[in-house]
Amino acid sequence: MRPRRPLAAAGLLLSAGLSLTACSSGEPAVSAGAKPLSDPAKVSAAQLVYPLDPYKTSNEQIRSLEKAQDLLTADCMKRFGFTYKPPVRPLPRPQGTSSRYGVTDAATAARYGYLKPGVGPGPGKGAEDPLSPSEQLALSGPPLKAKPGGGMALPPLTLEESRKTDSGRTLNGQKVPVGGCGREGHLRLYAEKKDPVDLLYVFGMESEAFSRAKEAPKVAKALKAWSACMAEQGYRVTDPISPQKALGLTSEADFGTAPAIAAAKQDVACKKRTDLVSLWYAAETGFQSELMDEHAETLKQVKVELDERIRKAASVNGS
Amino acid sequence: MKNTALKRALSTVVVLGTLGTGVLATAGSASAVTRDGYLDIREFGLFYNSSLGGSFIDLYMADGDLSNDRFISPGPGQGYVVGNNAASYFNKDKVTWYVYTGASAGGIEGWIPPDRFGTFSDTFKNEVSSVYHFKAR
Repeated sequence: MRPRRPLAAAGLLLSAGLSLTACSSGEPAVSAGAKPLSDPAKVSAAQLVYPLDPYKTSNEQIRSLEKAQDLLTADCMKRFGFTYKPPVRPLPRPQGTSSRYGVTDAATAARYGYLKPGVGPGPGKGAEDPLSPSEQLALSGPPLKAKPGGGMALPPLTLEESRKTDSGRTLNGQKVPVGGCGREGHLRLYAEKKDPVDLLYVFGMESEAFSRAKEAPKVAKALKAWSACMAEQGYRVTDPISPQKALGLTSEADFGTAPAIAAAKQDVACKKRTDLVSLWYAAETGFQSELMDEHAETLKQVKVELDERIRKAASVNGS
Repeated sequence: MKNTALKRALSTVVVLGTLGTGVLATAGSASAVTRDGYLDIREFGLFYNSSLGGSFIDLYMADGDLSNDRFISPGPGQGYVVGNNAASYFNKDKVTWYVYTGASAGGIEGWIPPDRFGTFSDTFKNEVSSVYHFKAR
């Protein structure tokens, strides 16, 4: 029996009926009798629940963090005599039918093809009033220094470090922060004294599990079966996530055309016939659990920092 | 595994010119010039090397398929395909950007707040194939 991960993750798995066993064959280390957190036969692929979900920032939390960062940036800009105008953001959308496994919903495919309902081709960016040079300097700071060999020298990683670093520019008698008020607003929320665990850490774990699952024998076999199924209708594709380019759909303007809809319908039908999503999901949850075991301490820190960050955002937002 | 030392070492492009955020160069303009090798306000940068190193591409708008794009600023990696090849990022935009491991917002989704920079993990396999200045699914 492999060591149990502590605390919340263990509770999550136990409540889901997962039991972990040693892994040696490239298959996820979840016992054959383990139950995934969702049943792909009963819920859509977009609604599937994963072991790592509790460690992710929810959409609502992201909205709160955005608002708080805007307020902190505005607070800094005020020091220099400017009024910061937050960007206009697209309205939050309800949970759609798009999933990480590409098109999976028959009704959506029949109507939209490879377009994502409510998304494609996506909102543009709202025009903004031009910033004066001084305003722009306050918001973004002076240009970052070039790094020998290409790229940019890293700005300070924490607010504490930033306050000890001279950007070399002053405005209205005050030192401009390195990276300007935009960066200061970010650091006040995310990294006052300590650089947090990589914000993409969980994304990395998910990506790793997703890729490993794709290579797992049962999934690899289903992938081949999916390709063969697609070929029955003349579609020569190997990537079930984003087959658009291989299908000759070169831009989003093509994704909702009649040929795209025909291909998407076949895509969904083939995924169902080969049980691809169910197999991938089962393998993926197993690999996520493995990775959670391996990185339990870091994950614990991720959760602590996420909770602290959300509390701070709520405080800034006055909620 | 991406970003191997060998792969990075193979890039021998000589660094030319001076890199910067381009803030002063574009002062007074509210609209960034995308893909000009300067990372302006309201843009998202993807770098060939970790820790904002090497060549980069500056994007003003979403890009659903980075396999069609090349790193453009002077430095190691210049001219290489961006898709599945970016090692670090810098969000100089005022909005959250979303990154996906699959083209057209497929695969795994991550989010990057404004004024955040970082290195895509060397610990985990996470090859970014598309990026959006909005949540794309």
